[in-house]
Amino acid sequence: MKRTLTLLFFIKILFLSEFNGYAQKKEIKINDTITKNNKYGLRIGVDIARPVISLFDENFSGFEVMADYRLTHRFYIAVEYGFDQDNQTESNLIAASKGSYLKIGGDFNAYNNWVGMNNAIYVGLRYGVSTFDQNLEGYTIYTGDSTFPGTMVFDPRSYEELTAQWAEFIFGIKTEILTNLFLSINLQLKNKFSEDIPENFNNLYIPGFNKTNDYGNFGVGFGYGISYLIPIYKK
Amino acid sequence: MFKKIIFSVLLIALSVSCTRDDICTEETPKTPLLIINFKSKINPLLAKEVPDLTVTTIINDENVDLYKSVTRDSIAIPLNTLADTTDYLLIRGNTTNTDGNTDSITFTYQRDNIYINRACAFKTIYKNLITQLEIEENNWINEIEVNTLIIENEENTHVTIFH
Repeated sequence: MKRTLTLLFFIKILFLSEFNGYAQKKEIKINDTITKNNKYGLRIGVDIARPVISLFDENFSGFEVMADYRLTHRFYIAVEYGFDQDNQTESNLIAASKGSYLKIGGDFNAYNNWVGMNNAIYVGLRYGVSTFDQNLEGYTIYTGDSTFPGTMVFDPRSYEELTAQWAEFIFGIKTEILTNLFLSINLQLKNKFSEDIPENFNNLYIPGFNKTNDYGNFGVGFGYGISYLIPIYKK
Repeated sequence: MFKKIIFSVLLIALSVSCTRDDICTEETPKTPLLIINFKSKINPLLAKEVPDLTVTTIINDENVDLYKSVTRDSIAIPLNTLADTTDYLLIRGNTTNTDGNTDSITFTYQRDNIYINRACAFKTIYKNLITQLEIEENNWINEIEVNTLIIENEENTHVTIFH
């Protein structure tokens, strides 16, 4: 019995080592194929949602340019720069914001591509900063009373050179539709941690951060981008 | 797999773009009403009800009743947020059969519009309230006292009327 066990042990060792050797060989082979298809370079693009919304929504105009650079197999550094103008025409407030923003951060591609494909399902983090002007045109006074109901008061005020900063989580996908040409869709969850609050008013819209709300510091956004990869080297 | 994810991201992106409108809730502090208490002119510490009181203001040449023939010792009335004065007629003993005794008061004040939030926009607070009683042959009101200079909430009495 004891002899049989010893024998089995040795057979096992033999098989394992042989298997290890085989696996190693195979791995090297795979690496060879991948190497030819992993493009590293600078990808530059524009947001296509903003110009389209600008066409249909007279209260909004904006554009955004974006770039990312591949650092490692999965990590990219990413940057977006844009300009937004947004009119908040609500039943009780008429205001407008305009300004530019910059977002810097990184993306992590969680998608395992088949050989030769360059798609991405990614998550990213950004630091966002915006400088903007805000104009309040008119407002109603909340009386909650029918004797003197709130009528719109036109009392133009402008607040200039305001800044806001936020952190942003991005979830999105990028797909290569033609060689080196990418389409991307992403969702953005934002949390602002610093802002200049105008005296006796508030920031209704922050370029890059988008619409603010009464309940907290959260903001949401989305982007549709088209970008071109300038390959610099392959790995 | 990839297509499924593309589709779901697209769907979420679409739903994000249509967020619900902000709603101004009833609990939000709004433009305060003017709180008036009625007290006895003989004993200024005692609350005294005004019998069959009608409170009327004139808006666009039309009489608007805020209280109609009520017997009570306090009222809450709005001030015009678009002007620095509001006129009120306080009619004592106004019933279906009798006209009663009408006293006219002009409230003069300064207004400050204060931002509340996106949903509710602004509210007005009032400063330096002055009351002016129109003197006539038989005023039922003896004296008007302003209790607070700034009217920003409805927690305290703003004006006391002795009669």
